[in-house]
Amino acid sequence: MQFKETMNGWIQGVLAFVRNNSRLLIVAAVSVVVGIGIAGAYGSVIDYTSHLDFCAHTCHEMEATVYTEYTHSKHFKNEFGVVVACPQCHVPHNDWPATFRAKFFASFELWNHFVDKEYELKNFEPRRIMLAKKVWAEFARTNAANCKSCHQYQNMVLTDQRPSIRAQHTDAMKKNENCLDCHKWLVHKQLIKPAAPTSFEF
Amino acid sequence: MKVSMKVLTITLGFAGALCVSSAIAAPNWSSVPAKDVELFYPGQSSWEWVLTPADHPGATKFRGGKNCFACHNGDEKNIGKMIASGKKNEPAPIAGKPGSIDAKVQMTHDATNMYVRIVFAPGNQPDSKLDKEFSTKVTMMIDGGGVPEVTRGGCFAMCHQDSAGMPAANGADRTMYLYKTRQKLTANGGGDALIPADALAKLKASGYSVEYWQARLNEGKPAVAANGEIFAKSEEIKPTAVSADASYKAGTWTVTLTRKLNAGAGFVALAPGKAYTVGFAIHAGHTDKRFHYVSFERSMTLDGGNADFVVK
Repeated sequence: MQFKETMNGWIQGVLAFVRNNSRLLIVAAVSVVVGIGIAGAYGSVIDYTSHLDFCAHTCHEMEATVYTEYTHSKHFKNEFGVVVACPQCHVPHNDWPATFRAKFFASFELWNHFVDKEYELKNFEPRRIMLAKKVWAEFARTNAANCKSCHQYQNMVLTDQRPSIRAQHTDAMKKNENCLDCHKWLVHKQLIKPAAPTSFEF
Repeated sequence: MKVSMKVLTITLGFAGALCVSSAIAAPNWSSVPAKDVELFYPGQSSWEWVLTPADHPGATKFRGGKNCFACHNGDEKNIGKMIASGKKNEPAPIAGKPGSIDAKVQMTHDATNMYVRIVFAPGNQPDSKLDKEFSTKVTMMIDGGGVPEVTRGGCFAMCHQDSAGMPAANGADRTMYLYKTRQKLTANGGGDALIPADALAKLKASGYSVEYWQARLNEGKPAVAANGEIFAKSEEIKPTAVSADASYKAGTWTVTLTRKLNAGAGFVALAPGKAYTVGFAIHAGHTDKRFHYVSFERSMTLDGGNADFVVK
């Protein structure tokens, strides 16, 4: 009996609160729904724009150049059947502010595509080296964090590597080197050849 | 004059003892540790190629202080197979030529001589007909520490882009040479323009030259010994200070090169307390000049120290 009365009192209190704050509660509920909607939309956009199909086949300048080059690399086809798609190298991992920042600035590429007509390769090719340098700068900033999310020095079975490769990796792991110091042209066309030496003397 | 039998016997016995003692006493090889040395076919991989990053990704590391062997120890079979097949650095591959040769090398010395024993099976070598006189030549080159680039890169330091049979030779029959003898070294080598004679003499006097010991072989015939020096060019020294002994059995050569520890002026003095760099080359299948197998550089000392070969 006492429990029934307590419960009744409590329910009445809640109903009174709702009646007295109906507008506030409606606004709060709508906000939560909109918030979930925005978060869901944001997540969906990130997912959609982080898929190989989107990166490779949406814009002609990507499909005809960097994607085609990528399909000849071990990141696309290898003995293990592992596919390392564009976002795995080019989109920050486990760092949503960095991911947001990357996607935000990438949206400006829409201007380059439509206004600067980069879908015409003759307009895109001259920009490639500048775009590559931006990517290298990001890899330098994170010390190749995207590479190292899969390729970790401490997990390398060095004895399975060719001797010259083993020697290089043994040195590199001592200083946790940026993978791109050696592996710069792994996936896409080599845009710059190393400068010819000016001296062959010691 | 009548000579008594007793005097004759004593005289003959003394002469015989002299002959025996003056012959080189063969070392006891069973007590000398053997080291595996893999020789590989290098094709047209020149000094200039080694130093060009676009050609040789390891060029930057090499310039930074890493020697060839430090990275490529164990790579020889793969490298040799790739080059001998013509896939890289060899525009004129010899059909059927194996990419590498395994050798076992032993070194020892006594009070007078240093002995180097090289045992290897050349495998099925096609006859290239480049050397009509000898089927096989075995060479060891030795630097007494006076040539920094040889300490770093072994024989590759003397093999240039414009040496005979190399990409920039343009038909010239240039031998191996040390680059400081040239006025300038470019991507195409040093050409024939030498530094002035007095500068050359000074360079030579500073110990800037490399010596080689060689055994020239034909099955069933005694080895022919040769030795020479590489400075402004490769020149054979006559009479040779090196002796060579070789045997061929069941497809395997056993070659011994011997030289006095102190062979006199102009030869690398072999003594404890000094660091040397050695390298090996084998011409097999009647080949000549660049069509040889080579090893990466190895360090050598006598009696003690830390080196690939500690000769005792």
